Amino acid sequence: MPIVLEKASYTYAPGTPYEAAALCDIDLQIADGEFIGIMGHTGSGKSTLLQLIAGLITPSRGKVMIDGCDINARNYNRDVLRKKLSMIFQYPEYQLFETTVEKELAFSLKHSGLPGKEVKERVRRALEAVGFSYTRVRSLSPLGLSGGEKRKVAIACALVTEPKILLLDEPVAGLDPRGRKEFLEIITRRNKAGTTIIMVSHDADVLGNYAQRILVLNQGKLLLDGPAKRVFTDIEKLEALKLGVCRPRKLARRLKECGIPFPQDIAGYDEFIAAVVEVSKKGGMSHEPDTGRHVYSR
Amino acid sequence: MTIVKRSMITAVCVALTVVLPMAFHAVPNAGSVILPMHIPVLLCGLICGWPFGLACGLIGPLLSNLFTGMPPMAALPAMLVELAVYGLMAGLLMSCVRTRKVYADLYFSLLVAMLAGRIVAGMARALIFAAGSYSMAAWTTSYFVTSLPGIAIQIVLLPSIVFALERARLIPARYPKEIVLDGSPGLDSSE
Amino acid sequence: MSRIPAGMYIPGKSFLHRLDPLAKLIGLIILLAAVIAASSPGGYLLLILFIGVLLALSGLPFKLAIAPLRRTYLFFAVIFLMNALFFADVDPLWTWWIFSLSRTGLIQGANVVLRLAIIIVAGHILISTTSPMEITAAFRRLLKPLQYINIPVDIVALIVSVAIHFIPVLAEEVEMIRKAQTVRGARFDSTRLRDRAASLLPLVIPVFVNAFKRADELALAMEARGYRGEGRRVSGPEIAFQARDFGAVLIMAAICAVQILVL
Repeated sequence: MPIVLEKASYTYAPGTPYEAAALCDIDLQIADGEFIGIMGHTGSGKSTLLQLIAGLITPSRGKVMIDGCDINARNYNRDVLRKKLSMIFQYPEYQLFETTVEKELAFSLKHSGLPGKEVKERVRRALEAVGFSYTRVRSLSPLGLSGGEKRKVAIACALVTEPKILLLDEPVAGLDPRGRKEFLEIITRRNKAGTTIIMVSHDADVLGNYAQRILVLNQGKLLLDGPAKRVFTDIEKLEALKLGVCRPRKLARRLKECGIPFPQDIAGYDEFIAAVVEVSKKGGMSHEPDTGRHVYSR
Repeated sequence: MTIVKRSMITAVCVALTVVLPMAFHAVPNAGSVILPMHIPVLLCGLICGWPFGLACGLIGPLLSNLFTGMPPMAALPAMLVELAVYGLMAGLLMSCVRTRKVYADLYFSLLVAMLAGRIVAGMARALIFAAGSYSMAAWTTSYFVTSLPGIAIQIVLLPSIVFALERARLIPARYPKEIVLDGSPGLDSSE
Repeated sequence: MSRIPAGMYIPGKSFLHRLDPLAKLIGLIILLAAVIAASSPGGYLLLILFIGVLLALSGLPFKLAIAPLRRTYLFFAVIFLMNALFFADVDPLWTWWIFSLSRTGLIQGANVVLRLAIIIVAGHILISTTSPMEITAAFRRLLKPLQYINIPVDIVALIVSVAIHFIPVLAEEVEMIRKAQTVRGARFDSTRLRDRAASLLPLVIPVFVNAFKRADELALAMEARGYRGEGRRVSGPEIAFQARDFGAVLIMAAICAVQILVL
């Protein structure tokens, strides 16, 4: 298994009066090419989990293994991890510092040992992946760009190492709907090309529509773990925890409440539409039309 | 820049004199080598002018002592003098020295400010804070030899920060490019 | 605007709200002295009780009043650990590499954290019950004598209050940027001097750019509300010290005296 957490725990400020368990005995296995969404409240340990996998913090107990190696072992070469794994933080544009966009991206490849030609080629590919023309932006100053463009350059910085694993911490925060859609399309494309995606978000709609597997964290514990459809099936539990539920799943419940035999294992809009087609073929949608209208008026 | 903007920049620089030493604490010997507390003070002087640089040099170490206990009370008075002179001199020199080359202005102002701060702080120590027990050798060692790498690092860091801020359009350019209407090179674009 | 940090004025009509801002400010300064003088558990207890009384008088919800502590517990943890682990003591309990845990260090750490927490909550109560304009006006009245030697006291007061506000925010941001650059392969611990300055750029430049951006946003917001930073600003009717203001200052002074003389 490429990413394995064995009873990983993390405690903030251990041995002090401010000790606080951020993560408790997390057992987790993630295969290559998965698209994982992590949901939970602020302080549930979502970001801590990402930082553990990224090797930014060391677990107070337990192990984090990537491709069979304990990344916190003393003889583990961190450069290997940096080549394999990228992370996009909330407001990634805050990290820009170079004089030109090209140098900014090349910084991430500084210790890769790649020849200059290959570096240039990768920079070009990464910039094109986020929708830039290499020749147009390469010599611009990243600090002088507009907010949306800065965000794209920062994303390109994470893509330029062509990582096997991409961690995203609330990546769509502060983006307008169009920017959000563009970003998620870039990420989906990466995922289709084989990159493992682990995305933390408080937006259940985004997770329901894009992630295949969802982890729900609550107070540092892994509460639910399964395919998006199954996790959202348990809608009452999610609502009891005051966690968001994706809209298609809510609609499916409304339809059921109205007496329509509608499947409840729905996470994304595509699944919802497919189910609507399915149900209406069986003639399920046509009965009790008044109740159906009632759904939309709510 | 307006007074309000200068004041706010000074405020964040003061906050950074508290925060940066904490950030560098993880790196061994960073405090005495990188001198993180000097960076915001010098920068504030360079950008906002001498009154603000002076204020930053006085308020910064005081707040830092209050919040983190660094610098310790014993070292605080000399530190206050040193940083106040940095902020003051950096601002004064930037307003006096105008070579029409930003780099030259920055390097010159920085070097002289850093020198002045060390001399004044050394004198203050010798005459007031530790009268009698302070020798020329101790002064040279503590202000120049151990902090020489720090001086070198600041000479690289500070102009880079100034240029980054200019590029991000957060501070006005020192020598704005002249808008040329008739297509021929303007008087000032000969460099 | 959503990122402008908390610690804002909450309008109200409580006893603390109605107290003369200058009385509150002098009270806070006396409280600072009392906090610095505190050294025994009894002394801290007295201060914490007193803060509790202030809280009750302010009419602020408890959760809101301790909000700055909850947001910054990491900051406290760092301060505590730095004091506990780096305090050079003759008789350490435990040493490893550059760390040495000592009794004196632990006590020192607890002292610093407690003091800081009390100061932060007290400062927060002041900021929550007094509008920024009132605070600057109070500072100006307090430091009025300095104006005779041409020092713009209100600007200095503004700088200090905004700076204190920004400390925890920027501390968190520096940590975030450090982590982001580490993932990108930055190495801040380069031993060669020549590389060292260059290795600091990825950390220092974003920190300053973001800090200046916050300064810019705040300055724009203030100017939009008509603040010009001139000394002749209209600051509302000057309130004269009343009996309750003198009373408040006297109570503070008494507590400070007890702290210094008894505990």
